[in-house]
Amino acid sequence: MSSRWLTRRSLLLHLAVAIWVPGCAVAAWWQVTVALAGDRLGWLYSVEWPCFAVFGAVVWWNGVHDDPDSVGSRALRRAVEPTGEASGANGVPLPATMAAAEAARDDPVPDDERLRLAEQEDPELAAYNRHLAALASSKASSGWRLPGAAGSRTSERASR
Amino acid sequence: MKGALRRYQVLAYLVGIGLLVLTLVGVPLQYAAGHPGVVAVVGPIHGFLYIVYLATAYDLARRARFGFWRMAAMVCAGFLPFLAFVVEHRIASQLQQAPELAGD
Repeated sequence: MSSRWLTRRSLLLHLAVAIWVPGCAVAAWWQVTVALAGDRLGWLYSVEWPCFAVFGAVVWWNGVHDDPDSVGSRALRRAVEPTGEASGANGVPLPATMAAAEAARDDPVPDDERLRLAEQEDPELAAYNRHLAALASSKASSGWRLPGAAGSRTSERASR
Repeated sequence: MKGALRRYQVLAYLVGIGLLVLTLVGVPLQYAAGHPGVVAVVGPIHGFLYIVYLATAYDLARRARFGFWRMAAMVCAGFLPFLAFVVEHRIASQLQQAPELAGD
């Protein structure tokens, strides 16, 4: 049990799933009674509601384990507009070295070399570039979890 | 990612069309004209497709790292008429500019 279970975001997720899953169970049982009363459409919905409950549980589990800073609209905007403007759509300025690299695009210094130099002086830019590289890689599905103990990571895998 | 977007788009259109048939044709026929046939056929199909749609939408949402509101819009698109097409169009046009989709 680590602190990720007790953040404000996680507590809201616990509350949501604690309402959602029993709600789905009630709805599923209601549809069983509807189906037993003769409406055959009820059988479909009595299967569908447990599926929604499972879906909610998956969203809850992932929501607790995701790093809040690497999901959501800000992460997507960064992915869509990696070098577009000096400031993001929400007004947060991009790292200054990135803006400089963008302005000096016609510079004869090779891009890779300039990137390496920029990353040396700005760890935030380096982290951002790793973030973009992970986005571009289709195998990055687990790379944006909150860092946790190795034991919890393996138990998480085993429980799937 | 590109495959996830395609799967999501196909299911979004199927669910969107199914929901339109259900709400614009099926429900008026059932309650105004007393013909429950369309609802009886399209209702279960839409119900089943919605689950598949949710799975593809959540798969895409995970890969593209959508936040809560974007996911909520994708979920609501399955039961609010016309919303599926709006949400699908916005998500597709945003993601098609993404660097990992421009490559291949």
